[in-house]
Amino acid sequence: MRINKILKIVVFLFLSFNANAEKEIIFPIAAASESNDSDFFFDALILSFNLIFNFDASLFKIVITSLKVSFSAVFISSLIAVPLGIIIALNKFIGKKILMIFLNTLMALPTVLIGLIMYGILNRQGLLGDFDLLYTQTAIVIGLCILIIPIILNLTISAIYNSDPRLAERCVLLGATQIQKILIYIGEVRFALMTGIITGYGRAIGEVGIAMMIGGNIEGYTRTMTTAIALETSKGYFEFALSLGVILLFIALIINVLLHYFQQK
Amino acid sequence: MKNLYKLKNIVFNYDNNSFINDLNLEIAESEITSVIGPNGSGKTTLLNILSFLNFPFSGSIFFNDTELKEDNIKRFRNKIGYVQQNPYLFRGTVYKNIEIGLKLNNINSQKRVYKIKKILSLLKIEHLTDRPANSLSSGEARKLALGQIIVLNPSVLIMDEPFSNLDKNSVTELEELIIFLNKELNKTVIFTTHDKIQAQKISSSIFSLIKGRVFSNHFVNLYKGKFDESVNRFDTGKQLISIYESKKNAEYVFIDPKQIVLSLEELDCSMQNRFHGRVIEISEGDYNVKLNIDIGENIQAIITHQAFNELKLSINMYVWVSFKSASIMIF
Repeated sequence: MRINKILKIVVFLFLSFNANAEKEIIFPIAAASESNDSDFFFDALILSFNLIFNFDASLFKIVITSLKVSFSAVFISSLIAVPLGIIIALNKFIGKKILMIFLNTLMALPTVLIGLIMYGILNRQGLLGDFDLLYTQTAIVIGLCILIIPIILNLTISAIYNSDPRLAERCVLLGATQIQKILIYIGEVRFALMTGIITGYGRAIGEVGIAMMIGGNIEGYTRTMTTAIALETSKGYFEFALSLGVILLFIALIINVLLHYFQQK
Repeated sequence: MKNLYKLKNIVFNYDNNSFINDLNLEIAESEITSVIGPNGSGKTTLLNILSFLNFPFSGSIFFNDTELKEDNIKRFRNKIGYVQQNPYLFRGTVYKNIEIGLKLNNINSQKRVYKIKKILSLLKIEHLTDRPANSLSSGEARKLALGQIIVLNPSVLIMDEPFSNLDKNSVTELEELIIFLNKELNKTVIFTTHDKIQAQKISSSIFSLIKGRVFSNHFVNLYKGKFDESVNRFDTGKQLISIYESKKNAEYVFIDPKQIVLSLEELDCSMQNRFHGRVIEISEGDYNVKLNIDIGENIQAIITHQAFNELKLSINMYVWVSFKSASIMIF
């Protein structure tokens, strides 16, 4: 029975790539819908593929919002964390060990806690209440930045620690200034740095606590893939949630392929 | 001749194994100076100090008569070009590797192209221009590292073991290049080597570095051995030398040739080291006479012309060689 369902999915995927597939795929889906309870998951999976390959507008609006906030957060975080990480790694200063412990602790920060603290700061009575940022995409981006800056920072620091120690001496001997040194390091250790950035992106795209608490899950505006999955599942619209899950899984796959690529370099 | 470097009582420890201990050194400007010594003697540490990469824990460095401090050291860094033994090469081509230093020094692109071409032809590596730096052989990589530095036109060129692992032709090429840089471009060149003959071939002054100490008269009266507790003397393998303090981990003793007393009869005195030996070599200089005497070990003594004439010394004559235990340096 299960093999039968898997075959159905394969046939469906094959038909989906056909331009006239829409009419033909109705039958397997309709058939699947009428099946018994044990086929619930596979039926939903087929329906989710239907949504994906038909480019369902509401589905892709959510995907785009997710990509937008996560890319923005990773871009901003990288601009801050990469140079800062290089500076921390290359310089000796008092309290460096304590800072490293603190940064490592921040890496394990629960997202709901960030959401909670940010809610306290961004709501009308909060410190930044006047800016009306709560339940906006900007709020999610800020929250995500707080989440992934420590990740990118830590991985940048360890990438620099693992880089060739002669590089630092070379920079000094060639008379590089602090800014030139950072740029040289970005160029020389770029693959290891990319690993940190992609890891940060993986954390941002799959995050739910921050997006839910300070994004507010507003349809068409702050609804991300993860908050939509949580909501649609509770509403019983499982196939919609599953289609987002499939896309999320696909993004995770791309991230891991990229990670693998950069780690091989 | 002007001194470019003057190092006074330099102390530097690094990872507890290579170290510089109370080092005093003067290096002349526009000359080729070499530092010879075995592995682990502190040669690279010394070069790191001379290239201002490391700052000593104590002591003072004078460069061009200016005392260097951690805050003014940056001003002099662009005068120094330091080619490390295994230098780091950047990602990208040979051309880009040479270009990076010029870019960091804000040289415009036209000048960059001109300078790089000149350096590539000087080093005879034009054919490698577009090759990725990580595909070069060790000899080619060494040339590239040298190119990266001399393109910046430093007045001092410091090289760590530049002749190691090079084939005969490359050694000759590098020797010619060093002489060219020194004679034609008036550069001060300092390099380390463990090959004494190599050093003598091209350098005008040679220093020996043993366990972080510098000796200008290289390897004269320097003996390796160990402290023998049973007789409370330092055993060089051929001779037992009485020393002032019992340093159990001592590896070397150095006897200053000027502290050695020569006599025809054995002296009845407090000097603990008295050896009977045969004169094997005499070289008369302008101000003093150097004598090499075989006392089991070959030892050099420096005496005045007056003393030499009074003793009427000649080759194969037997003399007594005496020196105080306290005059021996142990390390």
